[in-house]
Amino acid sequence: MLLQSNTLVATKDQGGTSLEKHTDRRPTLLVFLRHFG
Amino acid sequence: MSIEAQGTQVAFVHMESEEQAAVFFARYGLADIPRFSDPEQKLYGAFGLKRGTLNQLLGPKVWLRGAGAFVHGHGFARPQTDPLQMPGAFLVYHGRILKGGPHKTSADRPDYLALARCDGPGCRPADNPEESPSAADARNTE
Repeated sequence: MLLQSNTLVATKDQGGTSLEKHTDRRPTLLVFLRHFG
Repeated sequence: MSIEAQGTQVAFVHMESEEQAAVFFARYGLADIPRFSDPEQKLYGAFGLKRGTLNQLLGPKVWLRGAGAFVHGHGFARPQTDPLQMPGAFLVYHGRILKGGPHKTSADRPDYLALARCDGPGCRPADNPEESPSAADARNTE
């Protein structure tokens, strides 16, 4: 499934790098967490 | 072999603010791992992660996992974000989801090492001509 590019571009990590850049650079295991409580 | 040694990087998506996340991830020695704050759950939605059912969130497996966590010193806290949001894990490369999905229950612990192995369609250098050489080398030395 191909993700919408604008979603990947708009999402940035704690250092300001976009998710698109991360996933273009290397395969990325994206782990979605529950709430921290 | 670790996930990183396979040429795959790990990143987290969470619903908290970046300030809260910085404290949380530092506590577990994960401060340097990329993390994405998604309080509006847009990314969760883009990956098809929905709110869980009663059984997915409070079924027997969840209680068992919670008891195990309690024994290991983890407590309970009032959720500050959506407590019904289901977690999940996906292998993503060049904007494409290659593997993974939502957890079956909130206590699910998938085989992350197998999930992180990028060895199928979409992982070959021919599929990704812009791939960095180091990522390809890491997978070719398995």
